[in-house]
Amino acid sequence: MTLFLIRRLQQSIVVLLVMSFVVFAGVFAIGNPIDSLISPEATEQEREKAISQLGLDQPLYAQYFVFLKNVSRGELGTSFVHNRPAIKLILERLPATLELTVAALVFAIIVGIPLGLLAGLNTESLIGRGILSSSILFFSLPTFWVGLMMILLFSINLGWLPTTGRGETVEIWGIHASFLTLDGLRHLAMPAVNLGLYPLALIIRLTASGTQETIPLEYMKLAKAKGLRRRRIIFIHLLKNIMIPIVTVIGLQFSVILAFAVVTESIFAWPGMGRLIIDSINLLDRPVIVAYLLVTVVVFLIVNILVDILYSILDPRVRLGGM
Amino acid sequence: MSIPSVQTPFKRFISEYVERKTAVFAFLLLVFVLLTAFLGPFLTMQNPYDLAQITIMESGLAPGAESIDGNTFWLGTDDQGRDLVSAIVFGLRISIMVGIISGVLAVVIGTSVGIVSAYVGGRIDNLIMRVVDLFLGFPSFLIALICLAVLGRGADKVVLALVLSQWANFARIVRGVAIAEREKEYMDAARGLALPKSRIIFRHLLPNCLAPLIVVATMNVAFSITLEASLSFLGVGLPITQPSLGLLIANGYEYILTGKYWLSFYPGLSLLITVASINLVADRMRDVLNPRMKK
Repeated sequence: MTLFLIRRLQQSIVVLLVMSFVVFAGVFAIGNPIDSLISPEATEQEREKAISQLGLDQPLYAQYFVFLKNVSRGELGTSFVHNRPAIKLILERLPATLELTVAALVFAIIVGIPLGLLAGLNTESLIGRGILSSSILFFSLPTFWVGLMMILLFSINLGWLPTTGRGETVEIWGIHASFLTLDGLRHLAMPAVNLGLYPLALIIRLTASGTQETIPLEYMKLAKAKGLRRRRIIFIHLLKNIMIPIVTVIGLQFSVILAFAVVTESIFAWPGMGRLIIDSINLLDRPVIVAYLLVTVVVFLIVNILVDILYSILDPRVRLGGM
Repeated sequence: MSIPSVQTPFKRFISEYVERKTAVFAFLLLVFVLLTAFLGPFLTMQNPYDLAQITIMESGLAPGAESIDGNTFWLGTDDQGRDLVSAIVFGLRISIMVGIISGVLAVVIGTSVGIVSAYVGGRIDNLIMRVVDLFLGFPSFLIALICLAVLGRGADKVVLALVLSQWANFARIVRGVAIAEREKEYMDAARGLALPKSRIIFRHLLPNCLAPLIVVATMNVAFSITLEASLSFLGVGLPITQPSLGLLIANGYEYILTGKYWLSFYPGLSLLITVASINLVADRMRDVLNPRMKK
């Protein structure tokens, strides 16, 4: 286990270094940020001064080394636009994004597993076929359009839910959370459901196909022959065995949803990092783009390691060992 | 005396495919969408981007309203007097073109890399798969977003971003299949004939690795279309001069609060129909092609 962790951490650092260079070199290639930062009326001297202040007159490799040195000190540069440390800007918004991501996953799991079981146990009935067909529809739904339609229906036509923002937040351990207040929950509901539709479809299909494949197995017949109650067979014998692939996929989906949160945040004006990154891309705010990407990569690497560990806990046959 | 009809694999595929009615419907829908995308622009009442053909007098009309010269705006008009049906047809063509081009390119590149990697093996295989792992470690949406953040807007850049975010998938799948195929006897025979390597790879190995790709490649086109729409919606995808469905929805977004719901509703519905029909066709194809699903 320890060996596994050390190896994975080593690999992660290599990935992080590669990514940091790719991102840095790539981001460097986009247009000159000075044009969008300085008013066109600025004199040549003011321009020169600003360029050297931001370190933009140095060659690429020199800028990268300065960048790496700063990264190791936890500094990712100052946002050209906000004039504040980029890493701070990102980390301030990270909790909001994580809250949205987790809420979306929780929604997908709570709704998806029962529906998947229902569909898997009644494949031939209308309900089962209906659930499976609509899950394909959910796959095809463009997230951002569904978001707009939800706003149209629930906020504009029915007036039930607010359209933007996080609502009232409660501070726990220095982090603001929306899910603990009623107002916050009302704000969280639509974005979370919107973001959760895709994993919901995935979980329904996985649970249904897992159920279908497990039912004809010997131990299921044995459980039935022993005269166990149906509820016990389904929730203990069946569900426990199909959880392994589901948990893996949920873990892998975490990073997908985290990335797609960019779209949902833009629609519902959720103050997470996704909105910040889109604004930064449009304004060529390089330090923020780089900081966002590096923070995201770190989150992904952590989640991937956690999924591997969780996998080995659920399925003792999986050895983490030397890889 | 009747001659027993010989069933070719293709005919068998067709006859099994049509067993499910929804799949047939989805196929017809897909054909309709494709025809609309490729022939539609010649049939619409106006070219919505020719300023001579639109008039501000007809702006913001609700669906079903009549135009000055007696036509009907079935889905209404936008704030510049553009017929929404025409705009959707033109947008559909752009969306589908981008989806198909990037889908096909991703399959071609991914397949070539995967098959060469499997055939050559050893250190090169190892290196290539490391790169593939790196790409697969990140959600395709994020890869596309990074690319566009770096490259800027534009149709060619969107295609490049979509290809970069998808090719690794195909490389992984094809390599897996090719490694199993490599050990089969016909490959020994091809090597025994001392055929050139490129001929063995592309004429003998490749055709036998394509079957598992068909379904994934089909779904990939649908995914590319959605991805492009999402990116364009966020304003980092296609430029305003190439208004795909995603951009139409983004433009309509501004009017949703003023009650002009049709400007974002119908383009989105068109996108949904396109993507759903492709996915339903691919889903049925998988059921038919996958021997494990047979009863």
